[in-house]
Amino acid sequence: MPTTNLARSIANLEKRSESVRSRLLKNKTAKNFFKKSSLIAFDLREKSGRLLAGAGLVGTLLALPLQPPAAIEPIKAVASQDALTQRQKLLTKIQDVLPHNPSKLTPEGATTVEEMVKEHTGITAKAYLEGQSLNHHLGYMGFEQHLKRYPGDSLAQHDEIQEAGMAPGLGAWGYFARDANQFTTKDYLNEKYYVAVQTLYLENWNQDFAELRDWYKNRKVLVINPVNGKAVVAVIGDAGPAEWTGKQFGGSPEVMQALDLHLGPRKGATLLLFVDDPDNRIPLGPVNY
Amino acid sequence: MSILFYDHLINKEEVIILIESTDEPENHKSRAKQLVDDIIHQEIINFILDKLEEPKHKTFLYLIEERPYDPEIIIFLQEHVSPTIDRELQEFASSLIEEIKRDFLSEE
Repeated sequence: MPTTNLARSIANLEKRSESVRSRLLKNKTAKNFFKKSSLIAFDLREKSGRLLAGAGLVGTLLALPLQPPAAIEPIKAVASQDALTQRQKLLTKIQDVLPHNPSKLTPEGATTVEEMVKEHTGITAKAYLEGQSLNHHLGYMGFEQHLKRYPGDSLAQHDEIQEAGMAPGLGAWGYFARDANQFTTKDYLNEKYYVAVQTLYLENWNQDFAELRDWYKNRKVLVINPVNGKAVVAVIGDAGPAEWTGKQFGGSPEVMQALDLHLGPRKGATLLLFVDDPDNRIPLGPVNY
Repeated sequence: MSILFYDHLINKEEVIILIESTDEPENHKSRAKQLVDDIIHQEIINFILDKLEEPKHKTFLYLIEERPYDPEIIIFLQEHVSPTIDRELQEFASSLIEEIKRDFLSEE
């Protein structure tokens, strides 16, 4: 047994802990950040535990901090088959068939993907619907700003993610409501969960404009992040992005948050399918499955 | 205990054994282990912030707060700090643990 005096060792550790904390708080961003957040590793571990337990991955947590590097497997690989959620089941299947670059699925490939999506989310979503299809079903989605919902709408009146800002122009379909008095919950949700798609590059867009505009306007879509399986139902609320951006879709701040693409580069590969919902039964917003 | 994004790069076993092998009350041992965990955590954050360009600090800190377990944080650091950041963190943590052991055994 070592001849160490634990009380003296603790004093040394406390001294060192104090010193590293002061050093960390000299960083301005860290100082502001840790006013609201805990610097204590234990608190973060507890939080991490709660998050992972919520994802059904409790079994992966035991004693991990003491394991050598090779002991930790990727999260999805350590969950047992029985414990897999529908989201994890969809992920394991869909990742094998989806290309990870902007592309249009073939009708055959689309059927395979649509069946997987239906089986695990319960949502009937189609790459080809009523003779319509976008030029991409897989594409990079970028973070868009809020859209003006009615004349006089301001950023302060949008209840979430105000830091995203407001687009200077209107969405492709104009205002969501004629004026503030006629602004409905449906309009509110349509802006909250909107996507932009490249209707402008459809081959017959100019030729069949009136018909296509009516078909695509507020068309319900299902967007899935194939990396983490997060999904959201949204409406087509805008046109874009431009081809030169290298992105094929845009997502409202709330859509991007639902897909977990709102941090870092604020862009990511997504699968986007039309929702076949003639009776309007599928609500907009994140899909919990 | 649950995991943090860098846990797989750190082996604290020797320090924990040192603490556990003392003939001291359990609450003292727990306090010592928690201090070791905190020191490593804050040193790791310091190490990363020193290397990461300033405009990315906020994103990094939010990632830790929102998804402390997420291996994607390492990918973020590989993109924005260095492709070999995991090895660098491993080496840094290893020398840090040696220092902690010295502190722990110091007579001063």
